[in-house]
Amino acid sequence: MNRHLIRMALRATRAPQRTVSSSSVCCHNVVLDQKLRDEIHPKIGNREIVGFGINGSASYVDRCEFPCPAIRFKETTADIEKLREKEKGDWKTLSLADKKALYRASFCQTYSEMNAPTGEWKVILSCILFVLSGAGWMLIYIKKFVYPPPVSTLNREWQEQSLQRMIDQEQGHIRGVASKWDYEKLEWKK
Amino acid sequence: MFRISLKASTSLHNAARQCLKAQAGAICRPDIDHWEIRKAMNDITAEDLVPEPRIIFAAFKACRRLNDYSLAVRYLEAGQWKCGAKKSTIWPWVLQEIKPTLSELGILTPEEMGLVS
Repeated sequence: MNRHLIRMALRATRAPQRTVSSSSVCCHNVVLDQKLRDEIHPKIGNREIVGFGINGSASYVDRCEFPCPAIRFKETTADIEKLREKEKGDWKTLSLADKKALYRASFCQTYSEMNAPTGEWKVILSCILFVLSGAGWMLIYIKKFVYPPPVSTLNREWQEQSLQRMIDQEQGHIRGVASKWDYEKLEWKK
Repeated sequence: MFRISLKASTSLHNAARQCLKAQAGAICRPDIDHWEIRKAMNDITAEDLVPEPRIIFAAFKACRRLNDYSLAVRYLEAGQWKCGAKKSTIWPWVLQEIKPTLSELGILTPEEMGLVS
């Protein structure tokens, strides 16, 4: 579809033809041949193609960086036709409701609606916390039911007796444990 | 090396200016059509700048010629968005410059229309 609209654009930008004629600007300048019309319009319905859009395809996208999509948002109905006729006159005669209707006929969301916070962060945070708590529960289960009992050498009493044996045997008497024990005063060196 | 990079950056700057002049010139053409005004608006919004009042004037004139009110409002919204974090310092000045044209053509700002929440 891209190449079709690009070809169309090349046709539309043939400036010499346009500058020669002195007729006023026609609104429906995007002229498609029948083959393109059969290809594009079933997908977009009765909506008017108005420009290049983001990449040349005739689709509607709300993007902050591209204020003007390739097609109008709503299909052309009788009400909208009436508004367009009114639009040809002085814009001061349009009521606020008319102006809003014209905007919504061409565009889906305003910039503030596009950029409004979605609250998605709450969903993401809750999923992360849920997974972390699941991991916590698994840890408790595994510690209680899966692991064998801890080895007998891990309790405090055994460790103290171990240390006492190291001191008695003068293990590490240069730089290790025994070097930090004062054998005269029978206490740890300060 | 410093001199080379300086030259490169000034030539890039000039190229950007040329591009912008071309686009602004494109908008100012009296026989512009829907396709071209929208392409120009998209291209200018893609540049790293806030549209100057003279570009906005030209866009409004083109919208008036094409009888497309909603496009004018859309471009105002795009201009505000381009200000980014500095909207409170830049946009009031731009608005002040374009206010006469707004009242002359009867275009309401997005705030006046109630489109900004």
